[in-house]
Amino acid sequence: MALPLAPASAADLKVALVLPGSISDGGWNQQAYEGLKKLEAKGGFATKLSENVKQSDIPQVVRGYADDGFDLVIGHGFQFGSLFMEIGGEYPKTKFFGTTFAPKGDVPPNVMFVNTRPYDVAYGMGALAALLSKKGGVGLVGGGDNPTQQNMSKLFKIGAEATVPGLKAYAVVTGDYNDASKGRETALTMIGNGADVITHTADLTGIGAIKGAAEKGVTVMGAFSDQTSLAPTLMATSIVNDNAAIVTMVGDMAKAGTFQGGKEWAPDLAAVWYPKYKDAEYNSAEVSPETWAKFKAIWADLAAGKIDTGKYLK
Amino acid sequence: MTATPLVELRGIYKRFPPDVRANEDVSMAVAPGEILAVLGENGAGKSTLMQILYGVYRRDAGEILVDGVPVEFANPGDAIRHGIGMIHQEFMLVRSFSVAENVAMGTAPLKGEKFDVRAVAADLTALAQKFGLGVDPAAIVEHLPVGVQQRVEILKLLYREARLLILDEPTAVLTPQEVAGLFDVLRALKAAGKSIIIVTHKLREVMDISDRVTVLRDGRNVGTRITAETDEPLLARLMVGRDVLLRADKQPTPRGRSRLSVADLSVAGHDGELRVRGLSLDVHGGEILGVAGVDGNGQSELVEALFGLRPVVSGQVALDGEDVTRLSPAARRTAHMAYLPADRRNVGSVGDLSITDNAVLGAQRTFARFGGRWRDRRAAAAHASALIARFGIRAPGPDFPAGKLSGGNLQKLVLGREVARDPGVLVVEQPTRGLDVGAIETVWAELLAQRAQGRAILLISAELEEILNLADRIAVIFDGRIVGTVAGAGADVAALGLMMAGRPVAQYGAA
Amino acid sequence: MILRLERRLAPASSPRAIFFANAAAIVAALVVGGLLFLPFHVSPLTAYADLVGEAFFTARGFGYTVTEAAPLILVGLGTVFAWRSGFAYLGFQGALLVGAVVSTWLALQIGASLPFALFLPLALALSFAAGGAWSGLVGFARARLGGTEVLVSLMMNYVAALLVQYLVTGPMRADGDLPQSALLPRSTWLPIILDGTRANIGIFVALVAAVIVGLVLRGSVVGYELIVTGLSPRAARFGGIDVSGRTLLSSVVCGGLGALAGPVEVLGNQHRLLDGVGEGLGFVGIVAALLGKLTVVGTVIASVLYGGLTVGGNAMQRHSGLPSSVILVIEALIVLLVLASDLLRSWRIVFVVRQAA
Repeated sequence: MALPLAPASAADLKVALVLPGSISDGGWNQQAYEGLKKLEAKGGFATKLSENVKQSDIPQVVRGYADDGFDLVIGHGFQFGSLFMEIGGEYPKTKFFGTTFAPKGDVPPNVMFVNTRPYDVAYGMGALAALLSKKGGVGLVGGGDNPTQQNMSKLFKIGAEATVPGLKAYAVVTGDYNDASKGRETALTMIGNGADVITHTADLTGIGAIKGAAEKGVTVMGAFSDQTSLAPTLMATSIVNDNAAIVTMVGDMAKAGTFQGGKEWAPDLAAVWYPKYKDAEYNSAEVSPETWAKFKAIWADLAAGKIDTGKYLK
Repeated sequence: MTATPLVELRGIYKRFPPDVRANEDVSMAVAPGEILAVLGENGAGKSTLMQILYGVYRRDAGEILVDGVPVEFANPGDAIRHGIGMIHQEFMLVRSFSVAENVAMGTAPLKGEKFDVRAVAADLTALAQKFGLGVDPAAIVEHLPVGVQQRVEILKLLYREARLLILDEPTAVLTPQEVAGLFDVLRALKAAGKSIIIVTHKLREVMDISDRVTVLRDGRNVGTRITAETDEPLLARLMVGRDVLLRADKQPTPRGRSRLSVADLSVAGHDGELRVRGLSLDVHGGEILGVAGVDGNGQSELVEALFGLRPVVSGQVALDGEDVTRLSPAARRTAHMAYLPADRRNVGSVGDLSITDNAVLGAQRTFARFGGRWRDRRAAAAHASALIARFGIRAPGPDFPAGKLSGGNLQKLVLGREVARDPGVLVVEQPTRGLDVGAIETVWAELLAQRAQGRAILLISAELEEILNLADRIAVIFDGRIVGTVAGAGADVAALGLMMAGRPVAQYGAA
Repeated sequence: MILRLERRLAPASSPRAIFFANAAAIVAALVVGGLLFLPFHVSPLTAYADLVGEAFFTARGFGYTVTEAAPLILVGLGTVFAWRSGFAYLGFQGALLVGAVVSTWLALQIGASLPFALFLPLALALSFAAGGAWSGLVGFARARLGGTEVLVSLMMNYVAALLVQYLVTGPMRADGDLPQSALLPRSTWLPIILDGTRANIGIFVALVAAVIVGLVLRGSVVGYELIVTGLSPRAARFGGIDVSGRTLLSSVVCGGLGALAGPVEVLGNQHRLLDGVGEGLGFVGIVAALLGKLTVVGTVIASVLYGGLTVGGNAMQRHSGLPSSVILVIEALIVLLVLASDLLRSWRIVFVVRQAA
């Protein structure tokens, strides 16, 4: 095809993306949408999108795409877990992918979930924070009250305290993803208790935490996207989560026939998460090359499964 | 008329689809410096005609001439530019603005982005002085009494250099003192060469203020008279279309036993202040006891307490010797008490409901089946139709909304409903306020018929004429007390007037 | 010939006039909304065909439409009952949550051991009672202490929302899961009434409630007394009606009706209690009642149309890829213009024929 935007043909894989939020939220939903756009640009994919779908409308929208004969329906969030388990059997010709852990029970052969390895990441963030701390205290401000957040908090503490024995790690699940002032207060409390490195696993709440910590002049670490602009001098690095890559990889798998239905797929850690500070990996004014080398060793062990975070969650 | 009229209407027709003929071939004229009364019963087409002249409605046929020249008004703005202004019954004022701001809105030239309110205020002061209006341009409208708000409306028109002022029922909302003040203003305007049209259904006002009177009936002009050459009975006949008895035909009726007895009653008003202070009275079967007095001397609180709508502070109310002081309105209805409230639109009836639904109000459990639980619509409709027939209520049918009835027809419905329940005691408050002559006649006749059947009637009215016509005894209320009771026959109006001002003059029998 | 608008003596109130005014409003909203499609290179005609076709002319879509409509009808009926009797209750979201909590609790406790024919009436009755007590508190406060029910009922929505949040993060939380209750036993789910669709018997619950409310308001003496109380408390008192007693009754029944939307949503749709269950239904139902001019039939029609709008809007987005904000704008336009269409009925169009002189 000579045209840059290939017109849909019968051979194209029909992919639908269902988002619980807005494509312009600057985070979780927007990244997935960018992944979908990349698929479309590659050619060979015909894509559709539903955004801002209320929880009560999700079954209706998903079934609508399945009934319309879509080859792949991507549900981006924990809301899709039990739904895909329930309806997978009804639509054997459609593949369903949920960006969430596999729920308990048998996953239908045309349904795939993902372990994006947030617990490995949390462990790594804890380790890096511990390595950066001078006073022996680090803190993580968490988001909504759900098992993923609770486990990330736990692994952050374990990672920090295992890396620097005797260090004190704080982790609080605030119960809210979008409350900046709550995030700020939580961070300030941790700093008052002796923490001098602050990071987060929440959206707006996390931004509040970073800004609050930066006011106090302590080292901060971003999460999910490159958050350097929040505190350019105090930011050590940001652990970026590439949701767009998940969407494009799943699309490619479905096209290539390597879609791992009935499973919880575990992608390469490096494909989905990576440290970023502007155009580099880290801020050399805050992090020494030696410290960074120590972190990278731990990160590599996590990626290779040499550090087994799963055992802490049993 | 020799001079060219300021405004002339020729052969105006207006109908509202499907079947309302509001005006048919109406012609009339008003000369410079003249006060013209437009008289007619409710629904005679007065308001529609004035709205056509003011550009609100468009006529179906006919001509409007200003200074002898045919004109077209697409909207009130056009009328105002031709010097014609109108004051509606509901004032068009922004209540939180000052007088000057209200006048300035839409008229005054802009000074930058704002009105030049100060210049307007200066003009208004001059205008107010010239016509004796007594309005402070800086006052906030919502703090002003109704009579003064009306003057603000007049000022608005004068400021816009209106030559003809149309006033639609201007006295309906005014106290007698305010009416007198308004008429003084109108005379001053006339002296300054302004023309005035006053729309009314009150004969006395026509006689008091107008130079000429045009009478409308069923949408037609049935006669124009020079006021000084006519009188009230003549106008009444023109307006109603037949002879009108302005005097009630009262037959002597034997006085029965005491039915309603009030002893040393005290009642508080909304603000907690006592409005009725130790009042006592007795009403006997077959008599009408008239309670005369200037409005606001405790009449409303008295009747509300009598019917159980307002708690009693102290004292006793007895029906046929039974103490009912603490009973609910429903229980008092069961004890054969009936009440015709002054506010027939908001208390006596529910405007959004049909005539049928209103006809059973207060007796909803009587017109019902299954032990008073399920409504018997057929019985209710039959009852409503019977009331319509018996009292000559003009309505398309029992399903017609009560709120769309004219005042007179609504009052017939409410009165009919109350007397249909065969009450022993009937409390009647301001029964003819705002009604036209024909309806007053019906209400009076019905009250006398009830008296002839031996019912005890307590009539509270601010209209002395009504009391003089109907009451067997007259009790005068002042400041929550009865200051004296006199016989109805041959009562001395001057003496009553003094008593209404709080001076006891005569005592008659046991009150 | 000139067209001119002229004010009517009274708003035209024939069913025909009401129908045409509403239809004109909906058409106007669709036309204005259609302009928003143009920048996205979507044909408004195709998009609207998707909307209407999916929502009303496919079994599956219509199944969703009635499922969306059922809780709206119940909340709308509560609104009709309360507002017609002069009780300006705005706490339906809270009442709905109370019903949701009660029915979830019942389903988890004894739902599995009870035949559905017994369980459902029990769940509905308990939800009605609990919701009635919830809203009755507000009615009691107004009857005894005075004050305004508007603010109190509005605030109680937050209380109920926080209560649900507490329950699903605390005592009712399923172990090791999101903040939500365990999945309800399958035997307690509202049965599907049409194979191949998601339409469940919740719509029958709503329609039966509508018939009962309609009969009570139209036919019973209590209904008459409630309506008189609502239209004019002074006339009601004059007519021997126990106004505060009637207000209290109205406050209990309206919340009970709203609370029925809880089991319909939980047993029919979500099958578990979770934070944010039935979000917004308690307010959209009020809007549906207002669109239905506070009549029972009008409320049912408006609820079904609104449900269809949601379902059709989703279909439109699926097929045409319009941003969801465009769909929301159209929904809002329809509501606004239908509410404003009352104005239309106060005017008539007059053809003025000018004859040559």
